[in-house]
Amino acid sequence: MDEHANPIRPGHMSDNTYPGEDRETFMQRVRTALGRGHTQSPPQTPVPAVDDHLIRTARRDADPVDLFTRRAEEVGMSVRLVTSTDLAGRLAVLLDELKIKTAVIAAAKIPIGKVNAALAEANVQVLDVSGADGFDCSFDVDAGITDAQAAIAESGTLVCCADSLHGRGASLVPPIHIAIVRRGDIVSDLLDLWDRFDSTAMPSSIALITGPSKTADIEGELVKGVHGPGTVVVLVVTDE
Amino acid sequence: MPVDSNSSSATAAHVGHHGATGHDILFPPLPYDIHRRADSATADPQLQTFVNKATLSKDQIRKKTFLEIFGQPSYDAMRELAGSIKQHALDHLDHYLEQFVANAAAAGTQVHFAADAEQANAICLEIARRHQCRLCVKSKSMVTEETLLVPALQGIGCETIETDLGEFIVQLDHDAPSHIVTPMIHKDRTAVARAFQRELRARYTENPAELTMIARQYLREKYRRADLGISGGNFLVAESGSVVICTNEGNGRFCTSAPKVHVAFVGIEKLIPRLDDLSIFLKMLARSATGQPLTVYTHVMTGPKRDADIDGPREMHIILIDNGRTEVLREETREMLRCIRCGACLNACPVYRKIGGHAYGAVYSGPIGAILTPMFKGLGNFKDLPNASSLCGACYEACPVKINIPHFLIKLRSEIVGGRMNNLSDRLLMRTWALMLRNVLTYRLGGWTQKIAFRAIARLRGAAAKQGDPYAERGWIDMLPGPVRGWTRQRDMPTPPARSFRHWWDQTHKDR
Repeated sequence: MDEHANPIRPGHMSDNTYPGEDRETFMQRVRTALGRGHTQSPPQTPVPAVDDHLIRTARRDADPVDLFTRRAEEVGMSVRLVTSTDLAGRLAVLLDELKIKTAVIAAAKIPIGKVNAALAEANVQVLDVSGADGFDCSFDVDAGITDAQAAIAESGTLVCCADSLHGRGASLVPPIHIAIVRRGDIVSDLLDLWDRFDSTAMPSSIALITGPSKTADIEGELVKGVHGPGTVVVLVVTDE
Repeated sequence: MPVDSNSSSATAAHVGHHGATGHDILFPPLPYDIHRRADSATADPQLQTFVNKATLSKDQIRKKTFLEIFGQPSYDAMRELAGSIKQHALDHLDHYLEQFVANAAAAGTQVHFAADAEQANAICLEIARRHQCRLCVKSKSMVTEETLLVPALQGIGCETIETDLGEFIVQLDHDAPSHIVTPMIHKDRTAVARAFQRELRARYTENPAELTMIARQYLREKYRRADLGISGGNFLVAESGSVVICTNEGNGRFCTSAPKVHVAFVGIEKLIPRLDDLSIFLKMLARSATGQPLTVYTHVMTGPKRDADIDGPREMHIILIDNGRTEVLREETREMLRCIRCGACLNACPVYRKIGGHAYGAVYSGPIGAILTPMFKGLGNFKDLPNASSLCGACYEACPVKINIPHFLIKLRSEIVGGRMNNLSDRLLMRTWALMLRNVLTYRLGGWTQKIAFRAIARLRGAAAKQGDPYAERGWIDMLPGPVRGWTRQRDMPTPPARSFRHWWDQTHKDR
């Protein structure tokens, strides 16, 4: 990361009417512990490189759909392979199967028309999350239907980011999460994910979702759907 | 007055003041003497069964997972790499802190600096006051345990609910967490059933799935109404100004997305340089803790909601906390701050497995607690902790960032001795021992006396030799007298032979 691309800018701090220590005193204590009087910027020694070969568990050229499907199912998600033409139909069938009557949506990559068509076919009422309390809406619906900005094959992970078309609640609050992932958005390994983001223009929230919500706090017995969804179904669009 | 978590008086009515008894458990009177709690833990059959099962299975699954997926040489290399990246971040913490603060601020986060626990709480209380917060939902954070945040918030009239299921139960039951990652391994389903019936007026059930659903329903209503969400932070990414939290339940995402204001409490040592570094740390964190490839939810947060975002907190605050970390940051002890709070050392430690978390008398327990707690709270206050170890090194082998815990245990022990913090009888014993070993005559006399004594005991009390026993001729001693009785409570020792090794060597090798 080129230091000059991201200069340290002073003065964008919390307004100093809050209690707490001033930044300079705090930093001075850190510098003293490090044995110096001024911040060493950039560091004299470079940060050790993340050894791709050492930690990669899925080759870059691995078949993403096959690996993702296996891993996602291993962590408790259910995966169905669809094509762009039968997506709407298959989604409608799924909605019917899971007896979904109400839903919230967070989708942009998949043409919204297809999702709407499926919802109409299955007679599902969609709540509008664009209002003042978009998050609150998600509490009262059967399912959240979202696409995923990316997915990771090696761990069976969905990557859902917040933006003007994607609320955080849809993939978190309702008891069922239906995620639509395009083949082209599946990366092999966690190592490959970060290239998709610009560190200076991050979304406010990136959620890496690897399975249904779970806990084993009570005597080590596994229970699903503690806070987040207990059921996650992924539709992989294999021809996009 | 410290309350033993196993006694029923721990659930005495402290109505409307969640956590009062619980926090006493983690903040006992100082200097802290480990023996009472350790003894009661080893004598408690339920605690023994639960802690043993939980830690052993997690330790085994950690090893199995890494070996199957990476193999031992790669596992070691990964630990080395992860450790060196954290070390680099610590060695240049000034630079990375400044980079983090600038990037977080650029994304709209308000960054605060807290020198100590009091300041950290004061900042949070002020935020709560300004927003007139009445209800706060909180995800797991060790740092907030350090600062005793929850009672402070309750004190200004802001009801504060722990949402991690284990922490929620522990809070409800006026108890304290006993493990960094799985806070209620010491508790059984009956205790949970009773607590829910008593505090939530729920119908009595001991079924874990039903109990979990009762908690889920209760907490969902809280998420909806909460005006403040508090989280900790597993990692702070300097390059982007992001806070990363890892949970399995999803409560972390709720606490940081539902309320209008989010406050993250994070120790300064959580900094890592780049987003890319998350690849290795995330891959190691969940596997080291529970053998999973990743936790179910990893939430990377960079600033409050953007104007165009559909939902998310309107304000995001990060309180960067020192609270003793800059002392540990000094070169001799800096490595301790690599800790990513995975709990692997707790699961590997044979001592933790016997005494459980509460016996350590502090927020941080287990092997990492045994070195961090004396640093944070004063060695004189916690001199029992570095001594509560056999130096087996299991913790070092388990640590994903290769913290040499045995090295620091020994270092702290030598500081205890050097600072004359050990008691008089210890000092006299060691002094006498050293004198005896230094002189050839006293050494030989000591050895001879010891041999005669053991052989006498063997004649009086020796157990019969067992079939096929390599020591059949000499026999075993199954009970030593007096102060050394403890050694033979669970093990036998072989009777020493008639000749010492040196004597035998001299006799059989006289022609050399």
